[in-house]
Formats: sequence, structure tokens, C-alpha cells
Amino acid sequence: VTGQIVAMGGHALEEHWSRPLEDFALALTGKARPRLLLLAQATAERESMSARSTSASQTGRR
Amino acid sequence: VTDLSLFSRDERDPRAVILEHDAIFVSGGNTANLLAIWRVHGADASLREAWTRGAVLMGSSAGMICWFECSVTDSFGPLAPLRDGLGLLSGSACPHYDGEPERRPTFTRLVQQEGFPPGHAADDAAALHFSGRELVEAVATRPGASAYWVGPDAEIALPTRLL
Repeated sequence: VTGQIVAMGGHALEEHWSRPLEDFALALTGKARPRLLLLAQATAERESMSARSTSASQTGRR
Repeated sequence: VTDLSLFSRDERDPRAVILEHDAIFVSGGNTANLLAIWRVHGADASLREAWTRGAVLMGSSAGMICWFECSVTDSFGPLAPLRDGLGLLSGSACPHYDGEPERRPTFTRLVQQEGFPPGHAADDAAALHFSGRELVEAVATRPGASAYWVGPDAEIALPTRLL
């Protein structure tokens, strides 16, 4: 197995401390513009994926 | 950034979508429901395949504990053990260790008194980084937030690097 897992105890997008954890995990890909997939089945896909996508795209994530 | 709906399927093949990404973020919510719908659509196997190919899997709360064999969840109301996680990581897991008052006593009781598998816990704003099945380090973005190993005889706070 070469994959990695970052298991976060809890955070919310609006919390100021959430972003560094996500950035830490994305950096593990070793890619400047990692392709990121969001899975929101735990909320029956009610989480605002569009908001996340917009936020992410503004910082160069894709 | 891409999202993948399994409640309202489109023409995309979930396996293909999952495998074409470098990183996959799983949101919090109901872990039991999450696992059930993944299994209905085969996403569980695809996520395992992505992991073996080198993808970075990440998530918070339900998105933390789904990767382990067992966990503590409120998926059915009261906090209770869940024993059918994906099993990419061995042992058990508990999120919101400092964020919800009943998490810590429930997890430690299950492990130390009721034969639940030993495992890891993480405070809000803390995370555990695994490479393969090996723990690399614990990190946090809030001073004082930590991760823990909970065994049959003790709870051990892990060195946690502040990002």
C-alpha cells in the first residue's frame, strides 16, 4: 500500500483552523494542483459542495 | 474540485471518478449511512483501490472513522460501537475526543472494559497521518488539540505537531 490517510477528529469549513489541516493533507499528494474529490454521502450529499468547490478553486485546488 | 453523487447517479462511473483523483475528502455526518451507500455502489472497493494506488484519503468526523475497522458513532442516535468500517486501518477510532463530552468516556469504556479493539482518538482540530497502515505523526491546528492511543490499560497522548 502506498496511499496515505489523514484522519481528522473534527472540523468545520467555517472554522479558521480547518484550512491548514486540509492544506496539510493535500500537500501529501506531492502535486502543486492536486485533483481533489469530495464525497458527502455522510450528509446525504446536503453539504454545500458548490461552496467548497468555489472556495477551493479560488486557491488553486482542482 | 469534483464531487460525486451516489444518491442521484449520473452517467459517470464512480470507480473511474474515484481513481482519477489524487486526494479524496470525506465529509462528516452519519457514518453508517455513508458506509451503506458506498457499499451499494461499490465505492468502498474503489476507495480501497485508490488507496493502494497511492491516493491521499482524508476526512473529518465520519470521514475520520470510516477508514478504520471499528469506531464510536452516533449514527443510530446514542453513541455506540460500529464494527463494520472499511478496515483500511486496523483497530478502532473516535473523533471529537474533546469536542463532545461523551466521546472520551464512551471510547475508553468500550476499549478498557468491554473488549472493543484498541485504537486512536483525535480532538477537534487534530489529525492522524498514516502512510499505508503505519502512523506517521499527529498534527493539529489549534494549540492544545491532540491525538491519542487508547489501549486496554491506558490512554496515551501522542506527540502532536502544531501546524
